Amino acid sequence: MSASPIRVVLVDDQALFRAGIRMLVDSQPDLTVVGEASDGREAIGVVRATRPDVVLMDIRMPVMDGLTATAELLTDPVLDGAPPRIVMLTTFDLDEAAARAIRQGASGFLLKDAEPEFLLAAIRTVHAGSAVIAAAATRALFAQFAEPARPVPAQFGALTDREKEIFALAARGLSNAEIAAREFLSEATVKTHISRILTKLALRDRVQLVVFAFEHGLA
Amino acid sequence: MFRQLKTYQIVVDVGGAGLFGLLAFYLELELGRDLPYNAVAAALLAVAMAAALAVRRLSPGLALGLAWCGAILQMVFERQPSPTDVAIFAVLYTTAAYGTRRVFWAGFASVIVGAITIATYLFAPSVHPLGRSGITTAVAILIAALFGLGLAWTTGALVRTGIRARENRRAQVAAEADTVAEQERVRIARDMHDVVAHSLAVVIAQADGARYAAAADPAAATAALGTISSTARAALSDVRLLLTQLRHSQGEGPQPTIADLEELYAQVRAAGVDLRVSVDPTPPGEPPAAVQLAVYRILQEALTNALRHGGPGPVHVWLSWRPDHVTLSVANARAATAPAEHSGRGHGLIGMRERAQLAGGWLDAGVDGETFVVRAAIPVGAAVTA
Repeated sequence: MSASPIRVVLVDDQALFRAGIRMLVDSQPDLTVVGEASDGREAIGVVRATRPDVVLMDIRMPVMDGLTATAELLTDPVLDGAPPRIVMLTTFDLDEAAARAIRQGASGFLLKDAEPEFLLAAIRTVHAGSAVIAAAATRALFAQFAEPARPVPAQFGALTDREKEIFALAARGLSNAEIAAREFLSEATVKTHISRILTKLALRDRVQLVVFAFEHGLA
Repeated sequence: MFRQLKTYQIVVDVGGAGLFGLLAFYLELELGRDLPYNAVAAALLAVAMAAALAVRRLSPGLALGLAWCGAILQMVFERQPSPTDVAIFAVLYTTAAYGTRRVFWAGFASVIVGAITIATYLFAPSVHPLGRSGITTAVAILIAALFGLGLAWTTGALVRTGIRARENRRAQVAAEADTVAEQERVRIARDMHDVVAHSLAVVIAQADGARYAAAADPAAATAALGTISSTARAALSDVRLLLTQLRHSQGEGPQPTIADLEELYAQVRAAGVDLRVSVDPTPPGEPPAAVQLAVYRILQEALTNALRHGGPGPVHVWLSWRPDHVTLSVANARAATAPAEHSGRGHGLIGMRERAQLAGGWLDAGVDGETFVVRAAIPVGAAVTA
C-alpha cells in the first residue's frame, strides 16, 4: 500500500450511518476518514478544509442536497481545479438522482447496503481511476434513464482505431486489467490509451466515458 | 344495438305501446272509413307505430326504422296525418336522448327529411298549377313540421346532455376518490421508505463497521450493538405507527370482534346519541375473525362519522347475518349545515371502503333524502361453524 492513506470525507445526514462507515473505513490501514458533514453546505466547507481524495456523498439531505453539493465541489475555484472524486450513496439501485449526479461529474454510485469489501474496494478503485465501480449497475442505471442520443462529436473522430476499440471496452465498464487481458496488452499500455482517450474527449474519468458512450449512442 | 333496461321499464314501454296500438287501430279505422283497404292499412299502421313505441328505449335505432315504416305505409295507403303520428315524436325524442351517436344524427336527419316528406306529400296532390298560395301553404307546412319534429328531437338532445353531465360528474367524483386513496398510499409508502431504508442503512453500516473495527478496538462492537438495537427498536415503533395508519393495526390487545360491538354502542350512547341497533338474523355461530374485524371497524368508523358530522335525531344500525354474507347499514340524519360533500369522499369513507374490499365485500355511502346512509356487504364464506 502507498505511504500516504487515501483521505475520505463522509457526507450523510444520519450521524449513526456515518459513524458505522467511519469505523469500517478507518479499520483499513490504507484509508482514513478526514472529515464528516451532515449536509451539502457543510460538506463544501469540510472538503475545502481537508482536501480529501474521495468523498462519499448522500443524495438526499437537508439544507443542500448531494446533487447540488457535487456540482459545486467539482467547479469550486478554491480547490484549484483538483476536486476530489465523488461517489454518490443511494438507497435504490435505479435512482435517477444518481444518474444525474454522474452526468454532472460524480465518479460513480454505491448502494448504502453494499457489502463492506465492495465499498472499500470501490473507494480504492475510484481513487486509482482504474475501473468504473459497480459497472453493471452503472450501465443499468444509464440504460434506465437514457436520454435521447446526441450526435457523436468531432473529437471522437480524433481517436485512433485502437483507441476506439479500447473506448468500447471501457464503455462497457471493463477494468484496465480486463481490457489488457482481452486485447493482449500490458495494463500500463491500457492505462496510457485510456488517459489519452479521456484527454481527447475532455472527460474527467472512466465513468464519464461510460456516460459519454450512452449519451452519444456508442454504448 | 339493444340497451340495458330495468324490467319495469320494459313492462311500461310494451304495455303502453299495446294500449296505444289498440287506440290507434280504432282511430285509424274510423278516420279512414272511405279509403281502400282500410282495415288492413289501419292494422299495419297501428302495429308499426305501436312496435316503434314499444322498443323506443330498448333500441332507438330500430324504433326510428319502424316509425319510418309506419309513415311510409301511411303514404302508400294515401292516408292523412293522424293522431297515430304522435308516436313519431316519442321516437324522435328517444333517438336524441338515448341513441348511439349514429342514431342521434339519424334522428336529426329524420326531422328534416320527415318534414320535407310531409310537406311534399300533403302539397303535391292538392295543387295542379303551382300557384302562389300553394307554395305559401307548402312552406308553412314545412316550417310547422320542422318545428314540431325538431322540438321532440331537441328535447331529447337536452335530456341527453343532462345525462352526460351527470355521468361525467359521477366519474369525476370516483376519480377524485381514487386520487385521494392513491395519495394516501404514496405518502405511507414514502414514510415507510424513510423509516425502513434509513434505519436499516444505519444498522448495516454499524454492524459492518463494528465487525471491521473490532479487531483493533473490541469496545467498538459493544457500542455499535447498542446503537443497532436502539435504531431497530425506534424503526419498529415507527413502522407500527405507519401500519396503524394503513388501518392494519395489530392493536394493543387482540383484534376487536363482534362481541366488542356492545361496548362500541355503549361508547356512542354515552356521547349522547340515540342509537337504535337491530340485528336480524343473528350470527349463525362464530363468523371468521376477518369478517368480524371488518364489521367492527366499519361500524366504528360509520358511528364516529355520525357522531362528528351527523345531525340531531336517532342513528340506526341494521345488521343481517345471512348464511353466506353479512349486510350492515348505518343511517343518520344529515346535519343542517352539512355540505353536499358527503358523497363518497373523505378519508373515513375511503378507509371503510378499503376495509370492506379487503374482506371481499363492498361499501356504499351517500345521501338518501334527509339521511346519510352507509351500506356494506361482506361475504362470510364457509367457515361459519359454531
